[in-house]
Amino acid sequence: MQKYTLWGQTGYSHADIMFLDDLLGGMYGINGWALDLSDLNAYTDNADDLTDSVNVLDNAMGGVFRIFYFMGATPFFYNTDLVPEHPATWDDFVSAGLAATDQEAGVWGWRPLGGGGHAFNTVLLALHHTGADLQALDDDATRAALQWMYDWVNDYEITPPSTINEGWNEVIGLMAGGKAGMVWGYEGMYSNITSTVDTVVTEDNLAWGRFPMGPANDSLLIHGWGYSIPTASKKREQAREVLEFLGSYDQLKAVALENVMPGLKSLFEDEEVVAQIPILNLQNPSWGEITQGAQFRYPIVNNPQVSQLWSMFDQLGESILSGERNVDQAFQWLQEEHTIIRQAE
Amino acid sequence: MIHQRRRLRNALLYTLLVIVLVGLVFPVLFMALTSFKSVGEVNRIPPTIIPRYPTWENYPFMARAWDFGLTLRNTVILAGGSGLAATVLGAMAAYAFSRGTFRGRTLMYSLLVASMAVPAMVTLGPIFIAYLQFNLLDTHIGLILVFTAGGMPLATLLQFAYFNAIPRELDDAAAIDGAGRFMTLFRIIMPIAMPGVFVSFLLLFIGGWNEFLFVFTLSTSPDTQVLTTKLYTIPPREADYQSSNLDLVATAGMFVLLPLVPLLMLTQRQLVEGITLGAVQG
Repeated sequence: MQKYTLWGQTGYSHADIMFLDDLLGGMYGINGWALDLSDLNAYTDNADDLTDSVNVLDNAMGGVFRIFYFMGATPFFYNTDLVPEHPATWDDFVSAGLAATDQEAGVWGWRPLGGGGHAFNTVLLALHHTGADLQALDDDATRAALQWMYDWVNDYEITPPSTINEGWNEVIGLMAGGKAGMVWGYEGMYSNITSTVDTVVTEDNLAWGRFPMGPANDSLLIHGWGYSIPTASKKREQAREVLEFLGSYDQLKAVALENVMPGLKSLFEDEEVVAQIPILNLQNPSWGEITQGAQFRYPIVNNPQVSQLWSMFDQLGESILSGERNVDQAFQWLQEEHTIIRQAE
Repeated sequence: MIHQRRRLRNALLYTLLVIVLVGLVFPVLFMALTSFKSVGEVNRIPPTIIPRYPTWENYPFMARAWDFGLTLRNTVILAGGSGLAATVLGAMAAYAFSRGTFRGRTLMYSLLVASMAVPAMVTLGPIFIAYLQFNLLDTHIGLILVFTAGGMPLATLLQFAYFNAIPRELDDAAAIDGAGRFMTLFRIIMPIAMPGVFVSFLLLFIGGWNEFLFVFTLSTSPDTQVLTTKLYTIPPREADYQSSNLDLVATAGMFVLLPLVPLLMLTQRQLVEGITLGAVQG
């Protein structure tokens, strides 16, 4: 992230097409470091096929700064041996977590991604679910999100204090080893868990769903990768030509056929693509149901201070999950950090 | 009684040595063993120590993905080129400080020492901007230049200690025979101080081999990438694009480590002797 920030800030002109995720793409777009691509055929030809979340994002950004070729989400997974029913609400979630937890056996009801640079996602999920004011981050719903996370470890005790050391690989290993009742991860986690050596969690007892309904919603977070053209590019016209090719429907489909979650709605139902991506075959719920109403990772993706915000949310998540700060302290710290970051906008 | 005490002391020392060795060797050994595991096995908790289903597949996969030959060549050029340049330039500076009596000598020496305390991160941004303007980004020469500059203080100080220990009468004798400063340095002084010169080069070579930050920032294409920066480009496997493939990370670590091992095994005696000698003479 720092390297790409440096490129943007200094007008580095030797990159003509970039592959950027939603965070970096947001940073490039909102800071004026990426070209608006709304006049490309690659955009207009597929405009009706874009997911609602992309349109909302483009509107929030005030332009089309990338052509998405990959669109993933953050589903909620659970082991049906430990959590037989999908917890529909936060209360159900806590009950299921308590029933699944056996601390002596090292089994915990809920193992969120608390480490490895993923704590920021966990905080954003909680904030989205409580309906926090994502621009201000100073309301009761923000505090409620922090309280919710704090209680996992300190009140309900359904999450181990070691969660801040549990990144992607650890959570996969622990889930596969039967040490977690519920986890969240990117959609690729499904195949990773089921293919781990000696896994006790297979297609038969690994279920997924939307998040338990919070005070405001139960949506997943969307993340994606797209093609962008930096404004500093010295070969803009050639870059646009290449992007017309890369962003065409056929090429987007060709990428999806390599088991990459596609960026267009129709490709999620394309038979050839579905055959290549096992998770699109899952039902009850289906991918469409899972991702309904899903949002990008606001407020990071539409803010010029992407790097600082990412760091702030990650530190916030780790500090509250580790118990380093209680809710009041974390909330206070958030206000101070956010004020400093906003002053720099 | 004395024998018993000695035995006890030896036993304690050996125990301590074994503990330290295990602490040092185990992570490397675990990395080596992990490089022979599949991604399914590497995610397993609790982890297996010995691969249950050993596979060689990670090595050819990573060699292809990294273009290992090109990356290794880049690493050797960068580490070797900058190590050599810094050693030679450092020798010239050390000789000047050792033999010269010029104005500002003490101040310059102090500044040289002080420059070692400047964190690399502080200089990174300005160097990037300067390189952008001088078209030095993503070039071997640009990387060698920045590493040479970074290695100069160490090379100078290390060789300064050696040169100081060489009698000045040798310089005088060379001068009487008509040798100039450069000839005296390169034909008389440096050969005598060869252990120090060699250690200087070797330390800088290892430093260059392990360098990450500057190459990561100043290199923008595979043409100039080195082994350490390639650690940030572990490719996804087909149908597994979201994983942090720790088996591949371990294999990549072995690629960084393996070429250096024979070099260090061949030169460890000279390295230890050179450092010790330098310390005594300094």
